[in-house]
Amino acid sequence: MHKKRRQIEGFELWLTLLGGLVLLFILAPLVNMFIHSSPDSLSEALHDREVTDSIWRTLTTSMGATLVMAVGAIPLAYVLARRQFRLKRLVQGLIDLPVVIPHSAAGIAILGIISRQSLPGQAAGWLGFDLVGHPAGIMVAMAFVSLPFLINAARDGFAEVPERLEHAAQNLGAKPRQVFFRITLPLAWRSILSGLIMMFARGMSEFGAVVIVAYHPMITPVLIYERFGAFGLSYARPVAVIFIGVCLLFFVLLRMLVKERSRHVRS
Amino acid sequence: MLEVNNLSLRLGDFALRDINIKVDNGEYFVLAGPSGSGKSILLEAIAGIYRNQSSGTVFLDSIDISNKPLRQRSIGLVFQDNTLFPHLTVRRNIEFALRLKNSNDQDVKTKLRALSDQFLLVDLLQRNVTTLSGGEIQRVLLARTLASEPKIILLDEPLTGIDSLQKDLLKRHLRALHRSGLTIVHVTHDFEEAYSLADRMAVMHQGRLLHTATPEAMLSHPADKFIARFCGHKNFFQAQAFDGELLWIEDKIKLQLKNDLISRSLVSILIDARKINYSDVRPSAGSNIFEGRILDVFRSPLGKEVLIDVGIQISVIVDDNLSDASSRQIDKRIWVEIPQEAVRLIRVNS
Repeated sequence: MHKKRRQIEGFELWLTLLGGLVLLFILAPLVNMFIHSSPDSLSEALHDREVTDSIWRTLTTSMGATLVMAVGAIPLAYVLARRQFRLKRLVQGLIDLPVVIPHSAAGIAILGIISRQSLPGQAAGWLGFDLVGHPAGIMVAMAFVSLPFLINAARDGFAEVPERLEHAAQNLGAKPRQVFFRITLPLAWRSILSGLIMMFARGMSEFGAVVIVAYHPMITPVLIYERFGAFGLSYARPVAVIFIGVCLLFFVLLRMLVKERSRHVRS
Repeated sequence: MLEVNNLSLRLGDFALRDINIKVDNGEYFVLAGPSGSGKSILLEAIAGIYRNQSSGTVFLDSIDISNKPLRQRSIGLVFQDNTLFPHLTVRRNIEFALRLKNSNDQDVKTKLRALSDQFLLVDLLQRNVTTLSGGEIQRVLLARTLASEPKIILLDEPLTGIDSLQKDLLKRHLRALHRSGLTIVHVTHDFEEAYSLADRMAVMHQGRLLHTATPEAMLSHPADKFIARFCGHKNFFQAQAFDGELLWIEDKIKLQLKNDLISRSLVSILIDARKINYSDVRPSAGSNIFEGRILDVFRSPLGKEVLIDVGIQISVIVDDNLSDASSRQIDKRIWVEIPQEAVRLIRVNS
């Protein structure tokens, strides 16, 4: 009996060790980068208008893309969770497509539909701006690559809400709209919020699609790339460190919000 | 009055077939049957969940509601599983239904107070519904359903999985609702539950409605073996009469019994398990004595129940104190006597 337990412990040690190596693989480059950034260089980057503007632009465009797309993505997720229809599997596959195609290729594809010759491009032209090289174009690129995270999370959230509860609400006399907003949505909200955060985070970190649609105005991932190309590692690194810090901060804050919110819903 | 005509519904491998039910206003109607017989699906079909998949018609107070959606049927359905909204408190759950019917805050308040008094929920109103016991859940579900002011309520196994004290309390609530004039259709797999509550009951099996009767008639004149078993009868058989003095039970054993039946006519019989005798030695006198083998012995509320194979399987109930254990060994060969007074003939009109 005693021997058996020790064997398990030995095996678990191996598991922990191998898992630990993978964690180290993720952490090491990040920690290394933080260690090699001097406070002076960080402070200098923080006072650089180009850096702070790009961070602000990255946050707002990604947030904007997430919120605008949520208006359609959440209903789509609900339909996918609740309804059976022909070609449903195809639609599911389509939604995951942006995850598997190279993002530079996605950028080229997006460029095709937002260029001045395209219908959306002409519409933007009438309103007095060009989608290419504009924050709106950046939002389109960000949304394209990050939408699957929101749709899939929201779909899973809706699927977890028992249909019985919707039937019960209807049986009490509630209209479909009332059932959706007062029962289904609040119960799936935690997953949806998680999806929104993941979409926002994924949008912020996008480089490949955005750099093709809009090199300027620069979002931070593009700025980091440009500084690395033009001035080298030591110039790019402080910007990268600050941006990672900002991303982590937002990520942690929003995660805490989800936890707080779900605790509130439960109590 | 609720009237279900020729309702059929296919769901995967399961089908409801040609269901016809009439429930009068103010009646307590129980749909009984074993698990998987289709009772819950029938209830949900009446409530309108399978509106697009079912055929047949449903009338409520002479209005055809077959094509009306769930929310417009005025039928309150209490599902078998807990359908309290988990993100709302007890109060909010009831208010959800009240606000759909009442726009005036004062009305909502008054009705909430009345319902929470009626179902003893005053102390539970602020509670998170995920912390309620089975009995409490059912009481909140009842209150919430009544808050929607239905013309009739459908209850799916409302007493299942609830401890006996809470069950008695709930039964009192249900009887009180019945006395107040509410029409109730109640689904259960438990005959005693049906017997204690129903004005009339129907037994379902494999998606069909077998028989509808008062609980007393169901018990005293079970229409077939399945219903007899469901009502708790141990020894229900089909028999054929011969020459006014013989019964040929299930073509297997012959019973000497005076009767006034026409020869070769079919009849159902019930043999009272408490009036059958058995012993180790063959009785020297008497008729209807059969050799048999003990198949099983177990405890029952009336004493020890002994299952014996005499060509047919019959149950005998013996007083625990009057017989010794050695006479009840499994596989033991014994002699069974079925006295005339143990047999009851049932002529079923069907």
